[in-house]
Amino acid sequence: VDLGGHRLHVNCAGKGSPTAVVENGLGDFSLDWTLVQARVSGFTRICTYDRAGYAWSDAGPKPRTFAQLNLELRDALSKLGKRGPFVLVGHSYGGPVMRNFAVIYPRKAAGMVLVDAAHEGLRVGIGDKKTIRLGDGAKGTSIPAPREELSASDKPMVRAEDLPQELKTLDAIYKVLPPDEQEMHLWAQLLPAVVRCAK
Amino acid sequence: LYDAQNSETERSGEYFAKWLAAPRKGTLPAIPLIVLSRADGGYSDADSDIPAAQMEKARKEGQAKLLLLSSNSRQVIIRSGHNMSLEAPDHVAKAIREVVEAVRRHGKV
Repeated sequence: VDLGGHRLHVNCAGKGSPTAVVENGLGDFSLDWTLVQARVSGFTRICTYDRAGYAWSDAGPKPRTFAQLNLELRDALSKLGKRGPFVLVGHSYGGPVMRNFAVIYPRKAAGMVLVDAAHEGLRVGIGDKKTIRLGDGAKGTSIPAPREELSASDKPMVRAEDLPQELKTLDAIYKVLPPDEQEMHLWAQLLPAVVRCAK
Repeated sequence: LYDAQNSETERSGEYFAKWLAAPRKGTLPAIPLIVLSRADGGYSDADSDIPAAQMEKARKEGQAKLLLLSSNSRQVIIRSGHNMSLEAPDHVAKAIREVVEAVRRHGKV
């Protein structure tokens, strides 16, 4: 789907209503839902997608706030003729993203499935044995209004040599995917180094 | 991925702080909601400078609080790791089915 300057990759399968829409966890791609999508498409339509800057989707406007992600998903679904309301499925970081979607666009929310979703009270490791409660991680920056137009400063600034080592190999958890999906996952992990930006 | 993910991580903190500061009970519309939670956090005392039990307590309390977002909710605890779409696709599909069916019949999950 072209959102006017940047494209988002959306993959829908199955027939029926309500349509289930999946928001991935951090660092995950639409193809990581291959196994679930095959099952759900037997009883309703299910759309998975890659957030802007992931896999087949172009980089989008920054900063990547929940509201920004929500606006892009809403626009993409509308352009595909899918008006909802949807069953919002959010995994991990995608959980809070979908919670925010349901608050901003309540008429688009018919139901929700939170898949081991992050909660603001959750403690997570931040390296060097240190942990932080997610709700204590605010940096004091304001949340700007989301934008539909891409600007020059939105281009990814990561160089191949900046990529962390763990993105250069495929984690063992992905070995349950079919071989083609495993290969695509590794390709997509390396992508910011191979910058594709619509503008 | 890497560039977008960094911005996503950095910008989530403001939302989490706001949500932690005020009770989120009933902030969603009263829609069917299923909360899938892994049975065991899998934390280890060696991994962090606070006890694994404290990490686990925070995780379990957080999952319980997610249930309060809607008045029509249910928790399902699954023996799986964090990546349920890969490790427990049958359970995830079943939960989606139950919510889809609750929406279709305007009922409870």
